[in-house]
Amino acid sequence: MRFAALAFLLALAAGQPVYRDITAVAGIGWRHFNGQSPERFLVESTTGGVGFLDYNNDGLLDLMFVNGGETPSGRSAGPVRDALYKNVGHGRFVDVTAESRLGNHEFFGLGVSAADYDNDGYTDLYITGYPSGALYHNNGNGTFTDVTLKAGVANQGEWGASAAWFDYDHDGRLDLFIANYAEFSFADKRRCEFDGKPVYCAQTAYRGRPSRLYHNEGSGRFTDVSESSGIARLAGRALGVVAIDYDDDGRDDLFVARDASPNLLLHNEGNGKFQDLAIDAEIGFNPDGIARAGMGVDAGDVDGDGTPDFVVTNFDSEYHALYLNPGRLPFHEATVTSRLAEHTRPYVGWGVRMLDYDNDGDLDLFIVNGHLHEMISRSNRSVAYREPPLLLANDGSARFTRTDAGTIFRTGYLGRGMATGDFDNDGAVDIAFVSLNERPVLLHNEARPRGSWVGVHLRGSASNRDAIGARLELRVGSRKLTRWVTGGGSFLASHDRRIIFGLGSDGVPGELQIRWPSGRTQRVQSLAANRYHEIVEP
Amino acid sequence: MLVFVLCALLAGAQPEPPEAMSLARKAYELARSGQMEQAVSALERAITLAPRNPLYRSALGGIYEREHKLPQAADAFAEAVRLDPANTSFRLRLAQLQARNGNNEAAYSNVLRVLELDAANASAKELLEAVSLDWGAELARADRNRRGLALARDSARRYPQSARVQLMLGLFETRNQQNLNAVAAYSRAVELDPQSAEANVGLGIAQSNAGLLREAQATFEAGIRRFPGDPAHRQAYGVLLIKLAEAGAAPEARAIEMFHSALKLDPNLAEAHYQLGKLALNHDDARTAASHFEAAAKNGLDDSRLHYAAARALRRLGNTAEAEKHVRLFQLRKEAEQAVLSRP
Repeated sequence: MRFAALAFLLALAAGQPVYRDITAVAGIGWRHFNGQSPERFLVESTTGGVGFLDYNNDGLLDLMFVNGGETPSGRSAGPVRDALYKNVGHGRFVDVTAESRLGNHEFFGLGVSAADYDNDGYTDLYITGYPSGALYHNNGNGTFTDVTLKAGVANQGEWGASAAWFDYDHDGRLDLFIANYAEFSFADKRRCEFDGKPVYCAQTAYRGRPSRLYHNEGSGRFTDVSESSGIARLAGRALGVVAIDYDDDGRDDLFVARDASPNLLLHNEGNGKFQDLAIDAEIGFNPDGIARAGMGVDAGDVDGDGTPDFVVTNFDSEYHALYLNPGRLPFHEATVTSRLAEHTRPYVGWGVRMLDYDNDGDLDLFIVNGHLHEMISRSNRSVAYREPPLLLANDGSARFTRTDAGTIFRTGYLGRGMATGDFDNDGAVDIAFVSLNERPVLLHNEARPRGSWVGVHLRGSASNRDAIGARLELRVGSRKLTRWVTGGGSFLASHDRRIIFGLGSDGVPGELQIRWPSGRTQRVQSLAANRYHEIVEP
Repeated sequence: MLVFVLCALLAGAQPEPPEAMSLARKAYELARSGQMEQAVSALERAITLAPRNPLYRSALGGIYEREHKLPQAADAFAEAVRLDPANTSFRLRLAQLQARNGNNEAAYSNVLRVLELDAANASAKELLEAVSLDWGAELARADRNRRGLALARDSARRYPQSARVQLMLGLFETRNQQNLNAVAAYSRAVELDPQSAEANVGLGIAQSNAGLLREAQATFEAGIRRFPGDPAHRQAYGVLLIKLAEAGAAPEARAIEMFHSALKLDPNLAEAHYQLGKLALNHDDARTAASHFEAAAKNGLDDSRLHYAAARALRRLGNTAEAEKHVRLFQLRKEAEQAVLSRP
């Protein structure tokens, strides 16, 4: 906290932003389009995916943006396409969508999840959408091929939102979970109004759908195991998902954020089945037993006790929620004591990440917000349509202070998908997010001072190559920093898989312990600070 | 009324079989001498002979009404209205009976029709306000909030000086999340009836929902001074203070104090017990929480919130069987509440 507070105060004194919007100078000119129509189809409000990935293995993170699409009466003047931006270094990006053979799909696009599903060393892409999604195989030569049909992962007929890659059965191949939202059709024109003007109908007007789990069989084929895993029984409006081993039993579980449906804590039973423990964990509902409007979710250890905690973004007046994991059920809801209630009351939250923006060793929070109803301030004077993002600095005990130096924190957006990644490899986490019908926003981390750091890039061998599901524990003096390589996280987004450990101003990295998804453990000594280390599973 | 109808009947100018008229006269005499069953019988025979005469139907309705057979009375007047749709007198009688039978929606529709036919009808105007309020209360109980809002807005347009109508409007605006409209309605209700504690509490809640937290706080503070014996003010203010405390804008202790003082005024306030239970649970005092939840249940609270909170408290006390029972009740209540939400 002392370090975070100092960094914040110094930044303020210098008038220096913690995050600077460099979208234009980076060369990113793509715009999002959601097909907003007089009918106000709810799907329009849930689009805007973004992902950091290194598609060409040049060591620089590239950016993928997912567009929405046209609706029956929400037409675009030009073609609506996704965009892949290649990072050419020095903070500049070049649009390579056309040559990558990405960008166009038949469905209304929502989110992106990137991972090397076939362990060939190249990061592939899954794009979610309505009424289907698509899997793009990275050919390793700068191009992608749509392999959806062969793979059998179209998620046909569904409104797929966020997706997560993870290896639930430890066979070394990444499986795919897709958070599905609700029954929907453009032919079903529900009309909702506020003072005679069209608004989006409440989510409860749409019956929730079950999410879907695809098992990776190898050879580029997947099997839908939603029924046998028990996931098909859990219908509800799912929007966000993160895969992490919350109970340290060596198997990745799933936390699914759902919109006015109870959140799910899907415990991986180890036999191909998942059991929802949301009631026991007390994460399904707020303390009044009301299912909040869960959108985005992320996991990490915010209180330094070595167990993963969860943050979920919700609707205005519901507060974005923080669940601390004491190592047993129930979790402890710390929304008020963490001051999240205070900081998030007026906001409708979407993308959320636990990140250590100043490398002091504590996971902070970055959250993007944006309302659905243009006229909301006519119903609630303390709520606005366009809302600023939030950077909340952690004092190390899961108490957060709003740390919003920089114009972007005083600017309203219609934020949706948000991803994190260190695109310039300086050890400071950068951010990209999508705002509906606008240019996306690329934020460069310029926090000063920042602590030293150690970056770790895991390469699985027996485990999946991306090492999703790995648990890392780094000793820094008397502290132990615990991090996980998670699947999914945030909203409609995909992130840098590398782990950055913030060491504070004078921290020296000690032993790093890695538990790989395969169950193998590894100890690594003498990691040099302020650089990335590639560690291969032994 | 019966006498009026029968007199009208006897003076009636409609040509019809003389036997019918004679039976009607007989019915009048029988009714006057208190022989109601015979009077009914005579009128029924008259109706058989002259089925298109609405006066015999209304006379029959009048007798049934006197006999407190209200559904039959309403049926008879409905027939009279069917035979003479422009007759405001029959229709108004029908509306009154429908209102007394609890059929407020039909009563409302009939009084509106009377006013369409005779805009100056003072009795109809008076009845419409009463029926609107009764129907509004019925819609509120059934959580038919969209229909309730339409009714309340229409009533407020017709009765701008009625504090009770403004209260109804405030309630439905609140339930439809039209928070600033709710503030306006309750403000008007307070203006029209400054002695109404209910209006002041409604205003405070509406202001809170509309994000006007400071204004809400001021409303409750003033209300507590003006209505020191009203526990509802303290209970509602306690809820607002929790919201403020969550946002770091008020001490939680003040909310607790407010609930305790409300319970001193009325120990049976279920909501105050529920809120105190939740606060205790936040502080890991499951025993106190459970006892408050039990008190809330004893005082009639039986919604999903209570069962969810009770399950949490009991789980912490190690009483897993009871906790499971409350989880099941929570799920049942939740399903019922969600079914209600989808009503028009």
